[in-house]
Amino acid sequence: MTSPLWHWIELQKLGGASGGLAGKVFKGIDTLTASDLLAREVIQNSWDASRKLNAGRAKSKRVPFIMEFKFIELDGQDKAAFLKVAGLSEIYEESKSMKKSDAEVAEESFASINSKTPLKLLVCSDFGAHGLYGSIDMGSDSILFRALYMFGDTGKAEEDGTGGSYGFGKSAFIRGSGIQTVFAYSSFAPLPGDKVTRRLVGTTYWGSHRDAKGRDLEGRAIYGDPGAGEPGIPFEDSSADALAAKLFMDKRTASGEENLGTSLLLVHPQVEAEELIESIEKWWWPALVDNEMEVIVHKADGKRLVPRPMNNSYVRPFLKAYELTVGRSKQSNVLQESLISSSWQDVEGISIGSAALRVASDEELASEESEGGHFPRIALLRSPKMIIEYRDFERRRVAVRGVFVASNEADGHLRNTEPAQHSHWDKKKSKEIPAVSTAIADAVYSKLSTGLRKFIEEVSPTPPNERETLSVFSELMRGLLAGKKAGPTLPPRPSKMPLEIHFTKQPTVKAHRDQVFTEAIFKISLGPNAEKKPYDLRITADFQILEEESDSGESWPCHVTIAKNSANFEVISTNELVGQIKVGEVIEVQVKSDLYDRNWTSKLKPQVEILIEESKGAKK
Amino acid sequence: MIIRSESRTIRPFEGLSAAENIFSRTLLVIDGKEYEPGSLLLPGNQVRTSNLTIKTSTNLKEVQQACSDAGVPHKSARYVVFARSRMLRKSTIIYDHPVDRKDFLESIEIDRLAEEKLVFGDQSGFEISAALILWDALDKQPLKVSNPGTWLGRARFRIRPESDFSSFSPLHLDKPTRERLGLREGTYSHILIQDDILLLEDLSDGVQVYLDEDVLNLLLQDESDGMAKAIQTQLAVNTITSIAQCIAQELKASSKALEDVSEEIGASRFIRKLAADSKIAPDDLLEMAETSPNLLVSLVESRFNLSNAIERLLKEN
Repeated sequence: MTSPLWHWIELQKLGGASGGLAGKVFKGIDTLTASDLLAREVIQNSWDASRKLNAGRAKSKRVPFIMEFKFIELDGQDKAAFLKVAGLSEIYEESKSMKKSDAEVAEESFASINSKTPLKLLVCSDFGAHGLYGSIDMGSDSILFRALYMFGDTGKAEEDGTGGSYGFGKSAFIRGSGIQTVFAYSSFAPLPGDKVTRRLVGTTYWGSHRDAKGRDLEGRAIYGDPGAGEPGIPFEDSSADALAAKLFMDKRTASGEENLGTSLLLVHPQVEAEELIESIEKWWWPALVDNEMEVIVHKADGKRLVPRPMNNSYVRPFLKAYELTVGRSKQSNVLQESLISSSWQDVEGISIGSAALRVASDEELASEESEGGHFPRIALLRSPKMIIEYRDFERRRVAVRGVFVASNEADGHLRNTEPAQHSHWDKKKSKEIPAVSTAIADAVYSKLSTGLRKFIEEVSPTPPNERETLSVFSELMRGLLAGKKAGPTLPPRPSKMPLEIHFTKQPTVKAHRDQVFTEAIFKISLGPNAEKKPYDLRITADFQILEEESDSGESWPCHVTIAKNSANFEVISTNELVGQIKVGEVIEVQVKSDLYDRNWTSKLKPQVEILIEESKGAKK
Repeated sequence: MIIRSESRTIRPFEGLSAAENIFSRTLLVIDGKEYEPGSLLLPGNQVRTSNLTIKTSTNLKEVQQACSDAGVPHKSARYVVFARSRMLRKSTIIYDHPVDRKDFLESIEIDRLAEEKLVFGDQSGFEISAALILWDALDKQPLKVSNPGTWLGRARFRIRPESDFSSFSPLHLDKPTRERLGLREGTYSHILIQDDILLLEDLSDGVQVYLDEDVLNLLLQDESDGMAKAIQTQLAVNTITSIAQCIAQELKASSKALEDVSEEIGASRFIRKLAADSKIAPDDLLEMAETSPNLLVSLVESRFNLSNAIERLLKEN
């Protein structure tokens, strides 16, 4: 009896992650197809490796980055030989001990693999990247170990400008294989303590289960070199090359940095060449149009496909906006485009990036459903030049396409807010994300939304009057919409709300050297409609620096102090007071802002909230 | 949750109150009727052909005093009237008067034919501004205007054609539309309001009113019919209360007060106008929309005197 090729890892005494977790990370993300995930994650990992290899080099000295996707179909003896060498029957046998959901997936895929139809393989190879260097004995210092033996941590989060940060990228290529099985063959520069330049190892990831012998397994198995002395150790150098040849992978060499990189062989791929090329165009067009990478897809019949963003109807409307965003073209004088970021202020002292919007023509959107208007859409990207998200806004009459490119300063902050699939920037405050990062993410979406609204207002044509005008209805509605005719202005109606708030000293700007600050005093009292009981109040002052022609902007520090009748109130943060007020009492609060630029317009908004029991509890 | 707030926009200069006061009185006269600064909706033909005049409601002495108050030499400031088209984004200066020169016009007629036709010929409308502007660079000092182009005071009039609110003319509610909107068969009307209602300058851009297609066609056959009028009035009541409720909800969801929404935003103008017409405070109106929608319906019915309309209708029949 021969030894098994695959080494199934037993669950540690103190537990650990299920191997199935690797494939599940991106499950249920219905906005991204398997092809999208493969294109985004595999290229991102490779691209990060290339950028790291080229870090600090002048553009002319950089090693070109090439990404190849090669579809292979094997039949007859070739197929039989591959199946034998890859030991896939072992995985099939093991799947019979797995949980029902895994067993069913395996059964379906192996029905195809074991049929008479050709066996499909996909080899994803990068060139001009640093490869999976480092013996696995080096633990987390080994890229190979972090990429294939660990889950959820690549260490990239500490590196600036990377696309990935979670080490979940392998999930995409695992899901790209119908039997969640991948062989990785890599060439890399030798290290001082590790002279090896090529390694090959296979991995398969399934859910934890108990095998036929009663062992509790992680669900992860490794195809290692049986001659290495212990299971799960990669094949090295000539033995790696020999196995690669048997697996129908092209030989890799470490001679020259342009040859360094990794080939991932996906067994029974879940994507087709044409959809993969579309996904590459859709998610990577900025890097492609900037000639920063070359991507080639080889079909099984030998036909060569290359991504052409200009020919992709989804992508094409974004290209001109991108040129404007990155400053390669100037804003046209004829209406249809705008660099909306030109008036943006910094957020938390950080410039967040550039954005341009453009009206898309009917021809450009010929394939898009347009009944009832279009969804304005903005492509968001960071320095790796992969589209993080195509953000849709509320449907409007005018079709707008736009691009936002994060600045280098904001890049790391925005990456901090990305979920595992890098599919958006999270603006919700969270303990796991630095507050400045979520503030920047929030500012990006908010500035884009405001800029879009203004742009659409400027370029919107008069709406076509295709509707039926009901004269009585229109006349009644008109009364609430038309402008104000000149005439005496009636005093505002007093509110029935129990609270009253008034400025006793209107906001005044004062100079301090070359800067200014604002001071004001406002008073709070209970109105005639208040009940005869004490009210618990929270008083806050919000001070904002306004952006050009806007009624909102960035929050700016301000400080509140109690000017009068302070007994029942205490300052609980720089701009917040909490306390109790009774009928007849008047609380006077003084507000003073921090210093700011002497050319900035600002807005002061004091606010009082009556606290009810729940919110008091929440506050505590 | 009861929240009250006030807000003030603060320009970083001192001595501007005289200038601001001047421009709060500026009026735009359209075919003999005077309008205060803000957004104006006019019939399409009036946008294209009306006689327009800026009534400055001030004189040179006041303007010069406003410059002095702001520390701006008279020779470095100009009173200008300029216009900008809405869609074509073309601009034109209509009046440009150095403040140290005498012949100041207190009333400035706009000659449409002589002015840039791409501005006043824009069927989407245009904006006319009157402003007192610093023309020359001055020494940079805190609290003093110094950059050329800085306005000391201004009044803006945004003119839009009425067709902009044609979306308040109902759309046909037919079977495919019902299916698309997830409405059941037999639904007679539906009001769809976008959740970015607090961002839209034209409220109608975010509101779509649907009416059963057969009912709509019957209403159009004879709009003078009492029943047709009553149905349209009821539809207006429903539309207005729905919009007010939606605005109240969106304000609450975004933790904003009406104060926080610029008066240039349609939702702000809508609530203020409805509150003024109904003789209650805007905050109370919003509170009512949120907590007592039935009272709001009564309020709007009262505004249209719906009981009289129904009574008349019943007597007619």
